[in-house]
This record gives sequence, structure tokens and C-alpha cells, in this order.
Amino acid sequence: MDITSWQSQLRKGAAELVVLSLLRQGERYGVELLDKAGGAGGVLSDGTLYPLLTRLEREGKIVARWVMADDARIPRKYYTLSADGEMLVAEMQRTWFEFSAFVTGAIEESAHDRPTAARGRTIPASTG
Amino acid sequence: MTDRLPPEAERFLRRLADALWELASDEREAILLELRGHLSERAAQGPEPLGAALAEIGTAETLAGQFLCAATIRNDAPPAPIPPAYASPRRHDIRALFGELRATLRAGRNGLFLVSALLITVLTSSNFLLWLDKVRPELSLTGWPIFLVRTLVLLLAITAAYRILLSEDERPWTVDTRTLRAAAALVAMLGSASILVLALAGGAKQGALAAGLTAGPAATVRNLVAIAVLISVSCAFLRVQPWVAALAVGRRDIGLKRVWRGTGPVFGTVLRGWFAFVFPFYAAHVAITFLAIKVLPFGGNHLLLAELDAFVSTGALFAALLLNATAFRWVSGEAIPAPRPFGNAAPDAELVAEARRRLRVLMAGTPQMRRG
Repeated sequence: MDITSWQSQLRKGAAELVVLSLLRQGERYGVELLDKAGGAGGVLSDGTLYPLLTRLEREGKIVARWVMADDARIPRKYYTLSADGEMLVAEMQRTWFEFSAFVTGAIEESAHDRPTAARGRTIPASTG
Repeated sequence: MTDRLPPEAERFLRRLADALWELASDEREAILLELRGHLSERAAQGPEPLGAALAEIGTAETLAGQFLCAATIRNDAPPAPIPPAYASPRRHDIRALFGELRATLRAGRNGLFLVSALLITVLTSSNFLLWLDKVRPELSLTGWPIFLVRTLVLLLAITAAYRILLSEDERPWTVDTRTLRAAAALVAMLGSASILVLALAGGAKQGALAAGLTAGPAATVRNLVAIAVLISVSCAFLRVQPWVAALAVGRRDIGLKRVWRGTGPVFGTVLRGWFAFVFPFYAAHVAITFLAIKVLPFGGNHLLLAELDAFVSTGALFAALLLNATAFRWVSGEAIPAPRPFGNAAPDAELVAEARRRLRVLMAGTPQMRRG
């Protein structure tokens, strides 16, 4: 199985939740979002963030405004959650917790079962 | 207004701007400004963070593809307006306008058919008919009945062109109330403009411009006023053209007042676009007509010129329609729909059914996970 493709699909699904969750904490702009999500396992990157923000804005989940910050020479586009986005992210987070608990449980169960099964297959039928 | 970035970042932004030509200018500007800000912050951190950011972003074309996919999502809310100081310079960029014209053309479902229909319409242009009238005077094709038919066909072609370029109308050539409204508006505009030109020409005849310059200050002033009025009326005529497009596609919410106000801020761009894309065709038309009538005798050569003039006249008409359609989109605030590969039309029903079937098979063969 191609692990890279699987990872890519996993990241795509999680990116939206990560962005919306970060925006739930307050208004942020692109670089800020990337820096906050810096260690998030490559879920967000410079290349994927802005098309994602554009999509979320068009879907009405987030709203944007341009701000001329004192420390910047170019205006920044700040994003916040819309009312729909607020409801959506709460629902997404709840679903995510249930889903991750289920998946983690299943993986842990599988990890516990595996050594026994492995031994069963590798130990010779008669050891003398 | 924006600061220059390192060359590699500027190169990337230029390529991105090119790759995003399908988008409406507002959206394109917003994307480019946001990316410029992003790269500027990375560049301020040093050459390595900038290089890493560019590497992560990938090619401009790939990034543009993602933006174009996102742009196919219907958006009813107006986008966040860019600070005017950053938006204005790009608005006057002829290259960006050319991108919008191309996008409008590509968004039209039947561009080639439209061109051929217009060509047939203009094949009966005055130049062609003039030749025919000289060669076969017994046909007498330059009379009023022919003029009336030509005008009606042309009005229908213009209405159909707006429908093809701006709406999903399945029957753009149907004559209905929208056709009549658009045709009436065009006739009223063209008629009043013609009356004004004739009146001005009559005034100028009394003291022609060339003579007026030497005939005394009164004649000169009269001629200059006449020219100024003519230019003003032409500009006003150009400025309200999107209203005809609105009538043709049945957008009653976009009235004359809204069009007048809407085209005000972008009129400079419209005018530049007219001089860049429409005026050359008109100039060629005048030159060909002059050659045909004044220089060449009526014969085979004249016919060739008449044919060439038909193509040139089609170009003028088509470029003007594209420009007006684009101005209509600016006034109405509609983004130009992204062309296919990026379209978000409903997926094919058979493919969906097949995907569902495969999913059912897959699910049936997967043992259920146990918990606890």
C-alpha cells in the first residue's frame, strides 16, 4: 500500500478541522495560522493553506477582512469563524473526538492481539 | 504600492497571476496580495524561510489549479474588499483585462458559433453590398428593406451574443421580450447618437473643422464644442452598454442607474480596453473602406477587400461585445465562471451508481471491527 497517498488523504481531511479550530481561538491571518499549526504533522503547509481558506470563505464558514498592521508593509487578510462556522467546528470537534477514540481503540486492540497471532504463525509446529 | 520581493518570489507571483487569468480581477488581486504578504513575511525572516515556503507551495500552476477549484463554489457573500491603495494599480492593467476578456469568451458555451453567426451578419455589411450594388445594380441590395433586415439580424445577433456569453440560456436566438427590450435600448442609443452626429455634421458643414481653424475664432469654438460633445456622448454610450447586456439576459435588477454608477470607477479601464481591442478593428475598417471606394475600381480586388472588411467588422463587433460583457460582470459583481476541467457540475449519474456499487461490495467484504 502506498503510505504517502494515505497520509495525504488523512492530512486533507484534518486540515479543515485544524484551521477552523485555530480560528475558534480568535482572528488570525495566514502566516499566523501556519505558525500555530507548525508542529501539526504537516497537516497544513504554505501551499495548501490559502486555497483551503478561499474555499472555506466561499462556503461561508469563515469571514475575512483586510487589515493594515503596524508591523507589516502589505495588508493582511484576517479570518474569523462565521456563525455557521462556529456551529460546524463544534460539531466537527465532537465527531473527531468520537472518531479518534474509536480508531485509537481499534488500533490498540489490534496492537495487543498481533504479537500472539504472530507467534502462532512463526513458532514451528513441533520443537522436538 | 507594494514592495518588491526577491526575484524568485516576484517570478512566482507573475506566473501565478498568469495562471489565475480565469478568475475575476477582484479575486485574482486578493489572492496575489495575500500571497505577496505571505512571501514578504517569509523573506523578512531570511532567504531560507522564503526558499522553504516557495518549495512547499510548489509550482504556480498547481497552486492556481487549487484556487480555481475553490472558485467554482458558489459564493453569495461579497468578498472582503482590498484596501483601495493596493487594488487600484492592477485594475488598469490591460493584460489583466485581456485575461478577463479571454475568460468571458471561454465561459461562453458557443464562441465559434457566435463568431460565425456574427460573420454571416456582417457579410452583408455596407462594403459588401456596395460592391454588389455596383456589379449587379439590378439587385439593388442597398435599399431600405435590406437595411431594415440587416439591422434586425444584427440586433438579434447582439442579444444572442450576450446570452451566450453571460447566461446559461439554452435558446439564445429566440426572439422574446428580452430581445425586444435589448433591441429597443440599442436602437434608442444608436438612433439618438446618429441624430446627434448628423446634427453636428450639419453644423460642421457650415464651418468645417479645417476651414474653421482659419475662418475665425467663432467657427473654431463651434467646431471644438461639437467635437467635445461628440466625444462625451460616445463615452456615455460606451459606459451604459452593460445595461443592454443586462436587458438581453433578463437581469431587471441591473438598471441604467446601477450601470452608470458601476461603470464609473472602471471606466478608465473600459476606455483603455476599447482603444486596445476594439479601435484597431475600426481603424482597419475605415482604411479598407477608403481603399475600396477611393483607390480601387469596383471589381475582383474590391470584392476581396469587402470580404476582408467583413472579418474586420466581425472583429470589431465581437471585441466590443466581449468588453461590454466583461463590464457587465464588473457591474453585477459576478465572478466569471471557471471553464471546464474546473467546473463543479453534477457528476455523471452512471459513475455515481458504479462508485456506490463498488463501495457496497467493499463494505460487505470488510469484517466489522469489535470494540472493548
